[in-house]
Amino acid sequence: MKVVVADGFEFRFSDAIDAYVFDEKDSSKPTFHGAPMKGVDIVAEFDDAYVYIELKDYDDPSAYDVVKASSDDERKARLDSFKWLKNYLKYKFRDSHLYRYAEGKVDKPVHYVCVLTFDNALNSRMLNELKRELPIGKKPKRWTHALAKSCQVVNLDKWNEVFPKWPVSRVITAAPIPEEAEHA
Amino acid sequence: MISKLYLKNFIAFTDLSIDFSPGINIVIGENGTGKTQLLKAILALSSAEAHGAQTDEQLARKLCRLYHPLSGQVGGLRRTGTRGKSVLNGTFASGQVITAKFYGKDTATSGDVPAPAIFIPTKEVLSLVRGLTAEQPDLPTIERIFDDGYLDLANQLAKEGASDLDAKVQLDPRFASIVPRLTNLIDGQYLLENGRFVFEAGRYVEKDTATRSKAQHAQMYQDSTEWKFVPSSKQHLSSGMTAEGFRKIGVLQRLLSNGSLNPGTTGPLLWDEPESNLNPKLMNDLVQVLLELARNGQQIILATHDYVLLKWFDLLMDKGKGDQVRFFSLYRDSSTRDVKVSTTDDYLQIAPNPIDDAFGYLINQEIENDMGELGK
Repeated sequence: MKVVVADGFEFRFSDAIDAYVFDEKDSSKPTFHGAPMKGVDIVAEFDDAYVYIELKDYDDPSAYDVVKASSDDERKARLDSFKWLKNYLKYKFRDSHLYRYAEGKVDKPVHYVCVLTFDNALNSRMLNELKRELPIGKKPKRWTHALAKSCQVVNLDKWNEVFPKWPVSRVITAAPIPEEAEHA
Repeated sequence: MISKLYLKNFIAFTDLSIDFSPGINIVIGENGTGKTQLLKAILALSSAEAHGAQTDEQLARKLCRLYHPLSGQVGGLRRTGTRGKSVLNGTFASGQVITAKFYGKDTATSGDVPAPAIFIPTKEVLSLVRGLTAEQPDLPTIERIFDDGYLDLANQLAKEGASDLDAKVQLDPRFASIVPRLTNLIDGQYLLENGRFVFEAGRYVEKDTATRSKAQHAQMYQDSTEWKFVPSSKQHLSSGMTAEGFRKIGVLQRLLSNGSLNPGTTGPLLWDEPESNLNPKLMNDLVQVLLELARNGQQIILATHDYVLLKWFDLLMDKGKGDQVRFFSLYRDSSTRDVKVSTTDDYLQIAPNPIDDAFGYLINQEIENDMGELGK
């Protein structure tokens, strides 16, 4: 069992060989990232695959829905937000994959799973766009290897439904009581 | 405007109570959870048959014409396996309460008259009006084919309007924000000619300000727009030659133009699956029209299976403009199989949500195809 806590979520990988915070910022840890590159939150290694996991937890997911807007300005802002998120997820993967290449750790099929707080419908839309742009699936004729075997976009409920061996839950952090907070 | 509906031992419902919003109400649920039955119950309770002399018999017949029970008797609408009478109870915003109870073949009703509701069924009705409202209709045959939801709407569509649509658009700012949008959505308007609907192609355009008289200018608000319908062809088309989705928009257009639908006065607008036969691209404008109707005092109750429709309401509603959108999810209790309802004003909190689940199943299949047994 490998337990990883990242971005306020705890993942329990019951069958992982290894799993850790990939973009580790603590230089005292052996898994310190240490490169001027973007990094996904977690990388987990299994017998036959690597899984990259990126988490994004939003208070207001609708702000990223392209179609929402009561004015043109708002529509543009939301369109920009969706594109921004898509690009964010895209470059996170590419930088992480390049980093893993330099580590000599791209010897197994790679699956990229993004965990977003969208509904299934909006996640489906993000998945289609992301797959096209990463790219995953259709690759250029000159390539002999695929960048990754698959990309998925799920919410927390869906993650727990489809990956029962890797349950995820929110980490509850106790808020300081007012007196402690005052003296802190 | 209906504020509360209570159904007991009635068709799919054992014991169900729903509190409606005065604005937009959206009912979702899998097939067989009673969405259409619920809309028809509201239609029956606010129909002319629910009041006046011989109400009990009239309403019993109305219910039979709406639901077509096998036995032909209203008792056939009682939920099987339940005890006690069937009860339909509607509480309306002006304080009226209509209650209908029945066990065998007769209903017993009580209560005052609410404003009549308008029900738009799944199939479009505009092209059927000629047959359904003919001077010497073969009523028994018509009633065997169409339930009263269709016949009521056909009669409402066939009503002559008090004034023409152009004049309404000019005089009433409510219509100025709604009718041109509906018309330009389908590039034309439907007109009743010799008992049948025809389509006149054209668009609403802003009137050239230069053609307005000084007096007109003086009457106008600074930010108002004058609209004028400009036909693009002299030839009219039979409604049957136009797209079915357009005819559904045409129904709304006609109801507004002949006064059958008068926001602020008419009872609830009940619309069963507005999305059927409608190009999803038209949905944005349709939802904006429905929101505009609600802003002008029209209560709307929709049943839908469509993500796009549901999502547009979530995205376009503007609480600053007073929009109230309430979501109802009908589902069957896993142990008793009784139909229950969960209610929320927050789109993301709709549960269960079979519409989003359908997308979830696609994701499941995608993960199974790509990742096999990983994580399982």
